[in-house]
Amino acid sequence: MKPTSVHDSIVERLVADAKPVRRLWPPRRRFLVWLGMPLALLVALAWLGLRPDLAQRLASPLYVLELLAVLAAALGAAALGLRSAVPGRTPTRGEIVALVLLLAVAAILVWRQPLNLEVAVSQFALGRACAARTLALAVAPFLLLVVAIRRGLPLQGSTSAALAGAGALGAAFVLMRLFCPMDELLHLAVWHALPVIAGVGLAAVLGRRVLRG
Amino acid sequence: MERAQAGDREAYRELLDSIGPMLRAFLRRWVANAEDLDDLYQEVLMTLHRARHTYDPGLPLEPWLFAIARNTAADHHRRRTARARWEVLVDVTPETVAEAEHAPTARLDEILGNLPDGQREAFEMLKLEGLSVQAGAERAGVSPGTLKVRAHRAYKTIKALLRR
Repeated sequence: MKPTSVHDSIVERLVADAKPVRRLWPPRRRFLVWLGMPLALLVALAWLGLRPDLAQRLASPLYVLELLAVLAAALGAAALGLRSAVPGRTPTRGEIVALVLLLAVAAILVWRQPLNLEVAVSQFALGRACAARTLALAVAPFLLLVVAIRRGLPLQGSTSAALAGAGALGAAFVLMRLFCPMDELLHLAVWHALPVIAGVGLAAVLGRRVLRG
Repeated sequence: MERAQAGDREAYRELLDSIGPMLRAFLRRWVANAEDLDDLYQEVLMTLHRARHTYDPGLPLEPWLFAIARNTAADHHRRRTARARWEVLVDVTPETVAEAEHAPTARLDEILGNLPDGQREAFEMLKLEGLSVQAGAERAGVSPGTLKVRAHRAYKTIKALLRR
């Protein structure tokens, strides 16, 4: 049924332009390809040398739980970000709430770390390096996610970008927790968590323009 | 759609012809006049064309299609609202007499235009289109409970606007 002449004319134009298209890979496959990037970064960090007390820290269930919570949130955010590039498959409110809950668990566990102002202030230079490394580690995974998302049609650019940012920066946070030997609360809050939060916010703002469907 | 993705023009034409009426009915809830509807309809079809590589043949077409339509319509509505802010209102326009014949419709359009997107969508689906709560919820991509709450809020807002 052809309802209007407007319909006829637009359909003529679209049909004339109907070349075969390369179908977007399913989000799961794109996610698995993306996962190679943080894993490669982990291998590179391991080669450079992870924190010396890692074996001891991994014996602490709270440390492991913190890493797992952030990792799950990061991977979940990346997967949802990739899925958000497919119309009709944008994240549900429940999925976003689950991510926030995971991050809340991680935040509570970080909050349990000892506060030592003297150490935090004396290690200011190390702190700045940690922030810079966190951001540097997130760059490649973030760009890869943005490229993958742009291949689709992200209908909510800022949400997709925020999810990409959360995925990349969350993964960088986990990598830095395996690399940086400091467990002091202020150091973790300012130099590890704050760059992640700021980065996600910035990604959301920029995403409105860069990832508009 | 799968055949259209592979470049089969006839299949693509068939698909566009078959979704056309459904899309126009959906978009009619977003715009007040026929001219706007035509613009929006073309915009949606262009977006759909640009995004046809994102459709996964393993999944139903409707959620994909209506997500594109809903988003394009919301963008269109936002642009219109933003443009309206810059327009100068005058007391008398040459069209006043002609428009007076359609005053109730215009008033309804105005009231619906003041509703938040979700509430307007719920009201139009349930009261203007006569969809069931279940069908409306599926189309809007929300639970039936959420749709009922939105519709209820829409009734309250409309009541308040009519009293003004």
